[in-house]
Amino acid sequence: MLRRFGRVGGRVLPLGVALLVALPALTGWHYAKQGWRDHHTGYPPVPNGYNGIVNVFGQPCAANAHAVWMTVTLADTGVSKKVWFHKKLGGMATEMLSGKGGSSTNLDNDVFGHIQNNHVYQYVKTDVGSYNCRFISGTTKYSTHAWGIAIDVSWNYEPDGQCSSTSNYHFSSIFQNHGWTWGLAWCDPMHFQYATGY
Amino acid sequence: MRRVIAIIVGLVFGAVAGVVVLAVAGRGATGQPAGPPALYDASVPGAPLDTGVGERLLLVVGGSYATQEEADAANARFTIGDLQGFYVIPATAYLGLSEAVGAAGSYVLASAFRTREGADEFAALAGSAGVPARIVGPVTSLGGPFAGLGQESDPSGQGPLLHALSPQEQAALR
Repeated sequence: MLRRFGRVGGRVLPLGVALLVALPALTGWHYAKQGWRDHHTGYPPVPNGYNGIVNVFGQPCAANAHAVWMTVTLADTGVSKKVWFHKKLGGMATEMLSGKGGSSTNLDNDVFGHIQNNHVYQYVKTDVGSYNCRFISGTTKYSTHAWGIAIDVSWNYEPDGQCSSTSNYHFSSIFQNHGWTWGLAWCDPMHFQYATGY
Repeated sequence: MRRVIAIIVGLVFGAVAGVVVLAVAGRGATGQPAGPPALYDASVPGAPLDTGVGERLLLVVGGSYATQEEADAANARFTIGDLQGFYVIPATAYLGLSEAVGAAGSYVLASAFRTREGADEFAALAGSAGVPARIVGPVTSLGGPFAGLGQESDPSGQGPLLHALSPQEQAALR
């Protein structure tokens, strides 16, 4: 009898533990319960290389490259930062955001909405930044930041030159599922860009 | 027969080992390339090395040093992700810069701008990366080393500012 129970218990116990772990996650707080949803609206094609970027997003440092913004609150300090980016990558009105003249829901509503909804916002840490009219270090080639199509997240924890990730790996797949390339591929784990081959 | 097989196996192993060695040599220490793809793409155009000679410019200054070696070392410690930070320039490259940074500073960490908006943006970026930066000028460029002109928006909103402002606009620069 005991042996029989042991066999059944051996099957039921892991299931029970899994349910105990999963149930709070399934029934607990989700951003979606406040009305958020992934719209996936108005995404521009993901450009490849310099010419592709110019064809889709126009010239670097142009007004469109920093036409819309979102507020990012850093989880480790509670400091809120205004992040400016290209109008084709966000700024559209949704249930959770007011319209800012942008033409998609990509970065502000969808990517950062997923980060909240998936309970990984605590890994968005000091510091963040997107638009900057600057060259790639050591060159006179414009960085993807100059088009407002790149965002650096958790600088202090994910320095350029580090070929592994300690924080951003928690949400890197969310960026990648929305068209973004992760700079970890070239040892820049803070960096995400909406372009390939550049 | 065995000798033939051994030679073939040896050749295959040698070829595979060669490919692995070449692949590793072309990548970083952990197997990943260092720097974004644009770094290695010769077709990506670079902005011209514009020194703005004769123009009144604003400089965002991150520090001044007695020697170029000290300035280079300080600059190497300062990074903003993959973005270009300051340039090391002699204080004599701009009329009025030596007076602004003081007698001790023969070499300066600086980045040059034609507009107040451009200088403000970079000063804020440097500040958020933990580097105290102050805006100096307007000072007049004597045509020294390149100090980053081209890294600000053209007031027209069409792209980067790659030309001198009019004499009237330069005179109004504060």
